[in-house]
Amino acid sequence: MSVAERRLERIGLTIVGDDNKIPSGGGNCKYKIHDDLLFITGLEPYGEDGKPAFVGRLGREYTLEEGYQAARLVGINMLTIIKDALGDLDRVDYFIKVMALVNTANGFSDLPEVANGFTDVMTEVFGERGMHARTDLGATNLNNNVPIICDAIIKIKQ
Amino acid sequence: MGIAEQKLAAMGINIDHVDRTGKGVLSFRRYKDLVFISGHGPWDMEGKPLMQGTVGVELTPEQAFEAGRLAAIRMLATIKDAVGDLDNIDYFVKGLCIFNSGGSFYDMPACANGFSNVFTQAFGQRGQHARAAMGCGTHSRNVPFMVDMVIKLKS
Repeated sequence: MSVAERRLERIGLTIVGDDNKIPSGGGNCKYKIHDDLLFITGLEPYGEDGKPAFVGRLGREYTLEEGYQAARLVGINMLTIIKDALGDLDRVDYFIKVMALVNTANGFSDLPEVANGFTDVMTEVFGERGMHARTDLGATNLNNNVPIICDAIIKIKQ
Repeated sequence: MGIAEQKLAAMGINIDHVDRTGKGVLSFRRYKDLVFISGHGPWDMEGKPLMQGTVGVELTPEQAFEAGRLAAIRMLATIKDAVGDLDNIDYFVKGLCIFNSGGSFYDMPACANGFSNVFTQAFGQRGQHARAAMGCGTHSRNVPFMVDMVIKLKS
């Protein structure tokens, strides 16, 4: 706390910074750019109406192939966010890192095969530049009970 | 088709499409002086699991500690592949340790030390890193532990 703020506290005043004007729940944005890095929030397989197009777990409601298609939809949704962030998909230099969270039940463990749906979209669109380091994990619960969520760190062309 | 490809096609040369389906994951990706390492488990060089099971169900915390050590050893092979010489590493930045967990196993940090100790023993203070440790429901091929890492290279 700065000297001025300590004095304010002593006289019983508090100051409200700009950040406090953001309502509760407004702290999460779809992406953030730092220098030549683009950080993308974890995205769900939502449809054009913004609602989850897949609801359920791998190993219970969904098969590997259905999970793969859900992962592809996450990839397609991420392309929309990247275009929104950069204006043009050609400004993507290369993908760095992805984390794939797969909602699983009954010991389903083919996580890479599901998450490849996301990765295949990126290599189809960007070729080698779409390849990335990736961490897959089997979650026991995800938001809206969607089968997969992926985030990403992307290098932007300068 | 672009102009160059049209000319090549007229010459009777057709460029094959490189198919990366299912092959898009790299074991590491470099960005400036940082190396991002993919999730690594206790695998051998062929990717065969050296340990399988859920910590707290089939496996004990001691075995989870050992799984961390085995994942560190496999990751070091990837790091050496990435940087050529391990001495090119400046320091380790951040690791995410994920245990396939069940029952009443909650002691992730102690077990993740099986992973982290390898780095401090080999690199000293430079091997220290910020770390998050968590439990999850399943891992690929039912390995008990996965970890990814961000590494800083000497400039």
